[in-house]
Amino acid sequence: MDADVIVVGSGVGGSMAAYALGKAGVKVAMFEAGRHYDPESETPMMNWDREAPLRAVGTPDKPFGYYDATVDGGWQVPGEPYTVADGSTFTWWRSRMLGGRTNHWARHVPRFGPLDFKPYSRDGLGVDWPIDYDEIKPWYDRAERLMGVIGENIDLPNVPPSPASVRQPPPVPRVPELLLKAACDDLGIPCIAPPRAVITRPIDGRDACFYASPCDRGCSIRANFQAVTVLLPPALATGNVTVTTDAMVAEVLLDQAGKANGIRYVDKKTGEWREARAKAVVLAASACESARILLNSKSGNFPNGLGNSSGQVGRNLMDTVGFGMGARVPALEGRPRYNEDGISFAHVYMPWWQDDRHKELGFPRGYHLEVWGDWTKHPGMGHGWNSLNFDGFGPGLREHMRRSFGTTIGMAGRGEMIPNDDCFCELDPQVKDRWGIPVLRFHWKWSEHEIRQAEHMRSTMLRIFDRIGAKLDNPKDAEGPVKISAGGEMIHEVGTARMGGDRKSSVVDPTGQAWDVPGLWLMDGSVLPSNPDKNPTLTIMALAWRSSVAMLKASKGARA
Amino acid sequence: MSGEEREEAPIATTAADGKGIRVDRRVTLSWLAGAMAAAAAPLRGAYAAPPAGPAATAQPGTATTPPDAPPAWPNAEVKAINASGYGTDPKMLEPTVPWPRTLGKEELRTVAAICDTILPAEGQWPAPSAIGIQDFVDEWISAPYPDQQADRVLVLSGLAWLEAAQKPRQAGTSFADLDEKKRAALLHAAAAADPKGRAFVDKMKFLTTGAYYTSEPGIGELGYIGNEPLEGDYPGPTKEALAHLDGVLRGMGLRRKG
Repeated sequence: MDADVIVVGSGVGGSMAAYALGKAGVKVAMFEAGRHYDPESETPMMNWDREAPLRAVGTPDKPFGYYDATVDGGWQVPGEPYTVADGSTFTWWRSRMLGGRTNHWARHVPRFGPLDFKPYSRDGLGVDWPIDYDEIKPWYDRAERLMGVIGENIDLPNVPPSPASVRQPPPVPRVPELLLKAACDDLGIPCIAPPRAVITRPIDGRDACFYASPCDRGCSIRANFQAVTVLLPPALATGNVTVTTDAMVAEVLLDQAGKANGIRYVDKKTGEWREARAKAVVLAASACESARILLNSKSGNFPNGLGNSSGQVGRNLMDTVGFGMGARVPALEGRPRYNEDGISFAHVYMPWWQDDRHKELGFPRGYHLEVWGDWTKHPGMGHGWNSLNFDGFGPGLREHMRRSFGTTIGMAGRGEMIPNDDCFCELDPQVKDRWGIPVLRFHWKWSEHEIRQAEHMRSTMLRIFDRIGAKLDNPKDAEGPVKISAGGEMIHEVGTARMGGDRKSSVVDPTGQAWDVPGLWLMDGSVLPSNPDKNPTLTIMALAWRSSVAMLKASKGARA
Repeated sequence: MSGEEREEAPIATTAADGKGIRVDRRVTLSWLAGAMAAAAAPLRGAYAAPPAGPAATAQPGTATTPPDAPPAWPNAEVKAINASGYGTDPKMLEPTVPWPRTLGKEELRTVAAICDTILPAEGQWPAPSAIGIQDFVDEWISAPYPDQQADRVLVLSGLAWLEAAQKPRQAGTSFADLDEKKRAALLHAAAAADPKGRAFVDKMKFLTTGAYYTSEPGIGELGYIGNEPLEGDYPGPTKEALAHLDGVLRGMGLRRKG
């Protein structure tokens, strides 16, 4: 193997590194634990739900539905268990396929704002980042341009604008979204077009969205962002990048000087163990999987895992605070039909607008509200639930089904969690996966900060629902203790090898290189010191690009 | 399927084995008549309850004093499905259902009759049975996944209840042979007989309408427009749709910006 750099993982971080390094002439060997995946030939564009088993509803084999882009992934992966400590609830979504979790995601790509990089300075909780917004801004610009992002700027201090040269025009709102906008306008809540990794103008040989086929299936015309459609093709076209799939990496190897120079992995097809060598190693296997690799890379100098002199590997595990409710809006019954597919995601969202009121609100960090409904896609099995709002059956049920289609409005709150000592992952002392690799054990507990924030999400949603006369699907949601998502359920795990300004309290330096191990770089969600309410993918991509360039500078061209 | 289910006595669909439901025909007719009366006027109303307490129409001289009530809710003895699911990497472009369907001919007739009672044909829109919704119900309850296996117990128990309630009335006929009013009355009675009966009828409503309105005629009936590539920018709501929305907004004291 004559690679300069080994990249572990083909999601947004790993593929970004392969793109940036490959274009710079660096020889990259990428390793992915799942199979090869080609969205141009495999995506079920515009298949009807009726063509799939069980009308395409989710099952344990395909939790987000038959047509979901994820293959060989889910809350459980056969032969690759994880454990959860007594008293904790945690669930871990994994995607064992080329492109990783960029194949199934909401493509909601807000930038972190200036306040998000200095949270400790604001309220004494968590830690500050070693960098600020001005440092990352040019990387956001570059990442957004390459990713392809639509959206709308708004004058809020912690919702940074994108340059007009970067952001593409969003699609116009649909009727339920115009209703929400009018209600939010009346209530003083901002409601704008969300930043989404979907393009409405062709770029880089990619077609613009044609407003059909749900994005969560993937996109064969490459109108939304997947690492496999946007980052890997140009990376591979350089001739400098090779990809080895079905390669489950267990540990990072060091040379005699203590520099990272290889990996040990199992070929999942044959069960054979192999090694690969290079001059540097990038871990981008996802926050928890990268932490697992570090913790499993034990040696004399690193008895507690590689790069873990700080003891912070696996600690500071964060997810997003999730709370949602669904409702029906009787006033929307029987409305005229038109094509409402749009970009399949909501065309509006509500960014956090009360950064200056946290003391009186009683919780320290913000959230945003996302929107969903039964009108963004062709009718699914879920429309059947509307029949239960009709008393009895028989004559009249058809009219009810006709009138009630397109009246669902759901809201999903997505809030910032503060890292706490109760949330972390470690190696399970007993359990190993099918290849004998020790697995992760998760610990999880929401704090009062998150509970109070979720209560406020609920009250905001109820104000909006009330203003439009919506009836909750489950009226009990409005009362009693608020039910936050399980740890991991939002699939935004970050923080397990955080970036910091000193080696005692962080795992990687401000450029993303491990403090303890020259040549070892982390380029996934593990490096995030905090987890703002803004979905992390864009920030992971921007940081990975920035780290890749730092790596090039550090090595003066790794080929030499 | 689970141990818990097995502990409950399975009920036979006939009274022949002496362990199953014994329902005196005249009593059956009496509560069924009551259920029909309650159901007939507002079929759109809540599920009709069977007559409560000793019915005024109870026939004297029944020596065995059978309960003047519909059959007890059975828990059908259901064998677990052993078939494989489609796995974590199924063919998405050309989907197939890998597990065999399991309902017998008579059961399918009953399911079809239930579907058609729940969502009768109307104008140009065909009855569920005409587009094979009963086969979808069979596919659903024959699937090897936990949710569907739970539904299997519920649905098979419901089928057993319906036949138990119907058979004593007229030997050799089944639920599917009844006219729509009588079928509706029996379904209302099932829903009122037991919380599980209610769950059964609700499940059949969900399965029937969910499958129907994802079918081609159902999608046409809803008036859905889309799932086809558009050229140019997304056009958004039509003038007619916006006019309707503006009426809605006026009613709420809201207004649309711009």
